[in-house]
Amino acid sequence: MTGKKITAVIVDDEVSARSVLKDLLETHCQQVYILGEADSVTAAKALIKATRPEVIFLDVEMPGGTGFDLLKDPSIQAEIIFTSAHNHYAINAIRSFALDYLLKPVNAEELIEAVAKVSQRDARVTYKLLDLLTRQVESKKDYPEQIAIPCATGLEIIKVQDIIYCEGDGNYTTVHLIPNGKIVSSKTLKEYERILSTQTFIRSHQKYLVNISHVKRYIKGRGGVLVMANGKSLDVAHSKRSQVIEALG
Amino acid sequence: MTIDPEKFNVTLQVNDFGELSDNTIAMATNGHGVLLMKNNTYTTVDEDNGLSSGICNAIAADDNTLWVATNKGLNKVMRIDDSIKVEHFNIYDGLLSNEVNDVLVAGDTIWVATKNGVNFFSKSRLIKSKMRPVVHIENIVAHGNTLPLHEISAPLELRHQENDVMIKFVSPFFNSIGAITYRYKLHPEAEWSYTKNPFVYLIALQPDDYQFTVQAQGRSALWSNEATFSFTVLKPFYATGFFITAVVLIFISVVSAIVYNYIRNQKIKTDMQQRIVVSELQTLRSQMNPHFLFNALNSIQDLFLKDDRRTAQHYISKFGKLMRSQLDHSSGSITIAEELAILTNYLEIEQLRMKHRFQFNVNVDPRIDVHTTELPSMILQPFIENSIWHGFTETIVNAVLNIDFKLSHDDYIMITIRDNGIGRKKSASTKQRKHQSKGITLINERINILNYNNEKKITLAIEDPEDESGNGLGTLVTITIPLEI
Repeated sequence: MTGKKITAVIVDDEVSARSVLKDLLETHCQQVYILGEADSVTAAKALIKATRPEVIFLDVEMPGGTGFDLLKDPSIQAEIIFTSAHNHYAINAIRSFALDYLLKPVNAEELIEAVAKVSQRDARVTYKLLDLLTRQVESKKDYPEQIAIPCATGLEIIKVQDIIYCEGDGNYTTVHLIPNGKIVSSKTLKEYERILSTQTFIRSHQKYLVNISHVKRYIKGRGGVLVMANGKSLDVAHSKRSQVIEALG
Repeated sequence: MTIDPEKFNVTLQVNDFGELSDNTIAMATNGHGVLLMKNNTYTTVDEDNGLSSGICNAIAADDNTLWVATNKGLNKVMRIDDSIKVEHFNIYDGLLSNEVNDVLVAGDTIWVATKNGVNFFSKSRLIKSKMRPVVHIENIVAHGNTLPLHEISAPLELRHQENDVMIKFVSPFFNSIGAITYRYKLHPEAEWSYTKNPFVYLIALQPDDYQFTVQAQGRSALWSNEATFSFTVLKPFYATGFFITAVVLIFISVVSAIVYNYIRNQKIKTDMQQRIVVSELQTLRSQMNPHFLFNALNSIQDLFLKDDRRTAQHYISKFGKLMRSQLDHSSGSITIAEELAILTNYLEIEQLRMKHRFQFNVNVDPRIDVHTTELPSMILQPFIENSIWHGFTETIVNAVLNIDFKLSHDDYIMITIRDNGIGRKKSASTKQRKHQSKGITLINERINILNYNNEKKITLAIEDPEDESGNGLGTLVTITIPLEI
C-alpha cells in the first residue's frame, strides 16, 4: 500500500450501504479520501464531474438505472470498484473482465485487497476493460465475446472464440489459444468454467475445459480422447463421455 | 390468284382450252396447271389446289366442271361457288395409264385417252366418296407379346415397365398400296402424327390412360373412319396412391414414435431434474436451519452488545458469505477448495455460537488437487451440523471434529467426519433427533438421485465406534464420492 491519498466517491442508493462502506474505509483504508456520496446515477454524474475522483465505489443495481449506465458516459474516467448485494449475471460479466467487485456485507479483507489493487493498476487498461464490460452488458448477451486474463505480465484481453481449451493445475489455469499461444492465469479452472459456461465450452475432464468448436477429432476409448486444433490430445473423463459426444453432435 | 399477263406471255405454253358455262376460258398449260380467264382476270388451278400435276395435256369443259388430262392421271376440277375442288383418278382407279393425253365428254360418258389405251366411264357412277378408305387396328405388341385386338376384352392395362408398345393397323383398300398415309394420336384432343407405315412404335409411354386413334388417307385425299383403341399404362407401384399413402403413414408413425419416445425421455429427464431441484431445495432449507441462523445472529448481536465491533463485523461478513455460498452452490458441483472454504466459514460461525467449545481439524490428502477436483455441493454440511448440534453436548470436554479428505482407489474421494461426541445412541434419546433423521433422509434421497444412471455410486456409512467396554466414542461418517471428472 502506498501512502498516497486516493480520492473516491461512493454511489449506492441505500444509506446504510454507503455508511458501512465509509466506516470500513475509514477504519481499514485510511489512504482513501471520500469526496462525496451519491444515491442515484443522475446524482453520481454531477458529483463525479464536480469532484473528478480516482475511484468510484459503484453499486450495480439502483432504482432508475444500473451502475453500468454511469459508465456509458465517456467523460467519466475513474477506477471502479463494483458493489453488489447478490452474485448475479452482472457479477459474472465483471469477473469476465477481471474487474473488482465487493459483495455485501462487505468483508474488510476483501475491501483492503481491492483498494490495494486499484492503486497498482494501469488506468488505461482499466478504461479499456470498463469499455468492454459496458458493451458486453449493453449487448444483453449472457456470455462475453472477450475476456481479460490476469497473468504474470498484467492483463491480457483475448477473444473467447480463440480459446482452444483451458487446462487447470491447482490454483492456476493455462489458457491455450489459437494457433499455438498460451497464457498462464492466476484464476482456477472452475472460475473459467463459470465465466465461459456457453454451449461451446464443456468440462471434459478434471483438468480440461474445452472449446467444442476447436475439437478436430474424437478418438473412441473408455472416456475417449479429444484431438484439439493445436494438435494436443486431451483425455475425456469416463463420466463425461456421453456429454462430450452429445456436444460434438 | 391474280396473274400478271405479261409474265404468261413469255412463259406459258397452252396445250388445250375449253369454255365453261359462264364463259370462262380454261387453258391447259404445260407446267402451270389450268389457267382460268374471265374478263381479263386470271386464276390458276395447280398442284396447290390438288391437281395431280401441272403438266396438263388436254382439257374438257362440261357445264361447270373441267376434266383435265395430265401426265399423272385424270383430274376433275369442280367450281363450287368461288372455291375449287379437285378429285383425281389414276391406275389404281382403273385407268390404263397415268399418262393421259386427251379427254372428251360425250353426254354421260367420259372418254380418256391414255398412253396405253382408251378408258371410258359413266360420270354419274364415278362417286369419289365411295373411295374413302377404311382402317382397322390389327394388333398390339406390348413387351414382346402380340395381343390381337379381338382377344382383348377388358380395357388393356399395361404395367409401367411394358410402356414400349407397337400398334399395327391396316387399311385393306385393295388398290391403294403405297399410297396410303396414316395419322394417329394418343389422346382425343392431341395433335395428329403422320406416318406412311401401317404400324407405330410408342416408346417409353408415361403412366396414363390412352385413347389411340388412327385414320387412313388414300389417293382420294379423304380421311377414313377413325379406329380407336383404349389402353392404360399403370403407374409403378411406388407411384400409386396406395403405396404413397402407405409410405406417408409409415413415415408419420415412425416420426410419431420418435417424437413420442423423445417426449417421454424428456419427461423422464424433466422428472429427474425436478426431483433434483426439489431435493436440493429441501437440502437447502434443511441447511438453513433456523436454530442455527438465529442463534448465529444472536451470537453476533452479543458481540455488538459487548462493543466488539471489529469481531462483530468480521462475523457478519462471514455470515453473509455462508448464506451466499449456500444459495449459490445449492445445486451442481463445487471444487473441494470452495467446499472447504464454505465449511470453514460455517465451522467458525458455529465456534462463535458455541463459544469455541469445540475444535476442528481439516486434512486433505496432498494428492488431491483441491482446485480442480469437484464434489456434489451440500453433501457434507448436514453431517457436520449433526456432530456439532447433537454430538457435542455440554458434557463433552475437548470436543474435536476431524474432517479428512483422502484419495481412494485413484478415482474416489473418501471423506470421513469423525466426532468424539456422545454418539447417536445417546443422542437418540434427546428431543432434536427428529431434525437429525430428517437431514439424513434428505441426504440419502439426494445421494440416490445423484447415483441414478451413474456407474460409480456415492456411498454413505455411519458408524458408532465403541471402546472395549462398550462406551460410545462418537460418530464416524464415511462418504465415498466418485471423482466427478
